[in-house]
Amino acid sequence: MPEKVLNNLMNFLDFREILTLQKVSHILRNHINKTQPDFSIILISIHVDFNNQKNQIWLKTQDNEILQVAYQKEGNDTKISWDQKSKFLEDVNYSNIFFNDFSRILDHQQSVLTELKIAAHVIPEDLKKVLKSRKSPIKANKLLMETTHQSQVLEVLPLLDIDFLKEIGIYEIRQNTVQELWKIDKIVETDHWKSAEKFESLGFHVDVSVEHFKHFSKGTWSVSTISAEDLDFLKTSFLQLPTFKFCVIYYQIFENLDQLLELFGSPFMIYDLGKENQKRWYFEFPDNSVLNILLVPSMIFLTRIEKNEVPKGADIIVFE
Amino acid sequence: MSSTEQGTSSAAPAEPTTAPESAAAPEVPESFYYVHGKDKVVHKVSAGALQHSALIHGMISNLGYTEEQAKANPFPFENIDGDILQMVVDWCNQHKGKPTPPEDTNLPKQKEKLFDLVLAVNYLEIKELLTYCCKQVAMMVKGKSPEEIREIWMIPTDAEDEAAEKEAKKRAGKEAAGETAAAAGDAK
Repeated sequence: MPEKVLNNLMNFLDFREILTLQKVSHILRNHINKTQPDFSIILISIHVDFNNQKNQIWLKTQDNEILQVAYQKEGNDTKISWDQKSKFLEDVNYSNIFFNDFSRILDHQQSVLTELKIAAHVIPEDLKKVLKSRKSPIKANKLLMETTHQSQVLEVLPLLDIDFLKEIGIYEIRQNTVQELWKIDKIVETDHWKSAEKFESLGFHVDVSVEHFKHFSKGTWSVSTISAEDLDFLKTSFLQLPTFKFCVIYYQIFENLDQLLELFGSPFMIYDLGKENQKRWYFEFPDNSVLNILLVPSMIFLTRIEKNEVPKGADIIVFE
Repeated sequence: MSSTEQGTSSAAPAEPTTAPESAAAPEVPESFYYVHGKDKVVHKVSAGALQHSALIHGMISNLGYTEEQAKANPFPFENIDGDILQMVVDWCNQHKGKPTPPEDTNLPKQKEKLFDLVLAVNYLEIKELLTYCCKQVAMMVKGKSPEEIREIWMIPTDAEDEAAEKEAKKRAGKEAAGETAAAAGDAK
């Protein structure tokens, strides 16, 4: 088949079919290796086992089909399982096979991923090699990392194409009962952080100033302590951010609540059962929509709402 | 000079800003070209229909045939079977001057014909039809095993391919040896 025809055919096949074609004949194999047709995967998620027993990968195609492949250590051998099928590879290291396959998948991935998720206590050297050896940075709209420390996030985050990265999610992989304090001072200095539009974290408190969150149109994070000045700063920043949608902050201690009342004025209260602890303020955005700030024990919600959603009797404070 | 280029002149008078209602623009006669395949059956096709083929369109633009010249010199496509060329001509006529639909379900169901059509369309550089054909060919192998794909696409296994290659080399070697021997004989 002429090269142009083969290239055209590949456009209609997903990555599994392209991988199958490689096994059909050496001509197809050579063509695929040479032209590296786009796998058009929309989501790649990998999980690297802390106990060095099993690595897994999830891939989602544009047709929303999901393939999960597990690479498991079986003595000196490897068991690969997918779609209720499995095969054994003798005398091969499960991790080598896993990263070889991951590398091959990334080599073929030219289109933009909607999501790349990496779950690993510590980013393995093999993974760093795969990510660093790419000719061009990975294009992904969203990077989600489940890990243990900012140093591990920094092994991956700067290797993504900044022009495409819109969302960053960082999650504590350990199931701790008490949330740890994470240093993220170096993460917030990356250009990737500064240009992202959404941030989400779970399972740890961040230790940096709220100033580093003022550009996110959507944000969810946790702090051990927040002050009236912090919330006032965020209110002022978000009112000037045309793309702002919402922000949720989990906190343990709210410092100087009295000062917040001085800064924001008396809150609007709803005295229904279960709502006695909810303090609400409404501030007008320059475009006439409204920033709703809801303060409850342990959580603060800042949300852009329409004027007609403001409860009757509540004052809307005009931003100056 | 092609029909579309006729009448252009540096000294052409300026066009009136509004044309008089009674003076409707004269219709430019459509130009036709002629093509034939392996079976030598000549098909008359309009330039508009042939625009789908980048190859033929390029040939037409370069040659600048008159109607008579075009009739006397049909484009020969000896590598394309007559029935396949007919399909191509029909498709070009059906889609003349029209935006091509997102799908085409009128492609041959018989795979040998479809494969021949793919090769013809690729050669004639008909981009949209090639995409439709390739989609249909690709759909044939969705979810199939390598063995099934080999059968569907009629692809030999690596072993069969190697054997055929060896055989071809052997034959070429023999022929070359024969030619050398004949040349040596001539030299004597």
